[in-house]
Amino acid sequence: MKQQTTELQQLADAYRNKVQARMRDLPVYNAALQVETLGFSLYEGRLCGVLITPWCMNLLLLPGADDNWTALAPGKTMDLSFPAGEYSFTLSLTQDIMPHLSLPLFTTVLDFKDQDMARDVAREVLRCLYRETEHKASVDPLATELDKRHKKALSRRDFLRGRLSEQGGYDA
Amino acid sequence: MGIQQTFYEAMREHGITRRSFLKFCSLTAAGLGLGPEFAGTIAHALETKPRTPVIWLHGLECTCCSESFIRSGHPLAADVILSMISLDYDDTLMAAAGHQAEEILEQTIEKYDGNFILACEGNPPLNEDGMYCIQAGKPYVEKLRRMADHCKAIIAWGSCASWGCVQAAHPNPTRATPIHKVITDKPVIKVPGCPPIAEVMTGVITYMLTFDRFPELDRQGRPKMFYGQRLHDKCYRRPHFDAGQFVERFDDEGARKGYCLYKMGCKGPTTYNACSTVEWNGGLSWPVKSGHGCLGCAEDNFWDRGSFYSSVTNLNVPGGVELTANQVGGVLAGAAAVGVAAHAAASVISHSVDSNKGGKQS
Repeated sequence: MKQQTTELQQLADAYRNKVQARMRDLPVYNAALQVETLGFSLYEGRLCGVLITPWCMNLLLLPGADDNWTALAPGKTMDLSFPAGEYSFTLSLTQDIMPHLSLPLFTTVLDFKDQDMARDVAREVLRCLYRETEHKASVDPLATELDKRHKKALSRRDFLRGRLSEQGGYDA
Repeated sequence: MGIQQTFYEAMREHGITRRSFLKFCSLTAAGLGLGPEFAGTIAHALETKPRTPVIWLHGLECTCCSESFIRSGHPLAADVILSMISLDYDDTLMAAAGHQAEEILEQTIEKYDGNFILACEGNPPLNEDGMYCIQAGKPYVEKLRRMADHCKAIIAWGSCASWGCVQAAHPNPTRATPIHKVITDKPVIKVPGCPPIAEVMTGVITYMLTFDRFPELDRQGRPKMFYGQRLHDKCYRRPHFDAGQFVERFDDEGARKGYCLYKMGCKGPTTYNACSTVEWNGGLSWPVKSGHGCLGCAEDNFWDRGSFYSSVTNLNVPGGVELTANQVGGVLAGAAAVGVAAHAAASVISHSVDSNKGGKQS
């Protein structure tokens, strides 16, 4: 546990001390926010949680004991399963920050008015991530859409009414 | 051009075996990112549905959409054109010319009134009664309106048909106008990009033929499955952005190391398209992978948004959906994002979250 806390501390320090100064003058920087790691817990042997910074909010996975990510190509994507569905993470290998997998939750964080608001959203995201759901997310949005339709099986009533397709044709 | 012939029959006529047909269905399903179970759905649709007649018109454009389309690998454009649809008119690809070609338009209206798809590449100029684009002695806009009156649905190929593109850039001397502003009484699906990705084009057509409807569209009329996310959020260089590592000059160390191109004017943060996931030329590469920023060619008005090389300062773009947030948080994070965007308090977020719980995931 202590080792995990140290790891997270190192991660946050790297963003705070090495990255923050480089991002401060960019239009994507939200001065109302600060660097924070939130809600990290072990998921299938890897630490998983949300990283909040003044320029991004990402879902992060730190390497587990068996992971040797440094041997892989930076930018490689990995599809991982959670109770809420499957998500495509991108491998981050940069000299300033420890290797990790990340999934951007927002394009920018400019609309968060303060850190509390960002924290609320981050907690909510994690809660949903670990919640079993009927409509699982998929790395492929089309497959998800079709899957939903597939599952909406034809009821006996609809069949007798001759309603074979849920909604055919094109709507203007 | 027999509308009664199905795709399967057409393929058999081309000497294709049933085994190859089923393989084609599996490949098409895979190309659309579907599981193997959908190969059966596609096979069933293609076996039983008559081939849909498609009229492909060209207004003010550069033909890059056609150039892209004919290079589709999954499914092969040749399969789409020769077998899946009945491409009855396309002045770039057809053998017929002159009166013979133009007659096809009237024949199509006669035979398939209300049953053909109108695919529009380019847009009509409206100034001087449409005189800036004359086809077969008449303004293009007249041809467009005539065919649109009788079609089932319209596909607006590319940024010209979807938004206006370069010919509509300021001061737009010919008043080049996107399709949805000229034809307002027919369903229009926008497939923007300059050009759109080949597999996105054939993917949209395959979807429409298989399910006889448009795929789910966003508020701007684009298919969510391909335009649901900003490039920035699926970019393989995104970790460099998050780590504050940027290319500052095209010949610097950062460029060699493949850092983020945001400071070089990359429009990825404001562009909804599938380039970073589907990629180009059969998944070989895409602009950012080749070391140049995204120009944002799939976005409205991209020619008038300043230099391609100045970095994006306004990250608010209308429409689209924040798919990642929606996916991760189920409905909830999406609703939260809306609340956040509206500068609502946390309590408002949780309220809108509750009221959206029955909503859709993507």
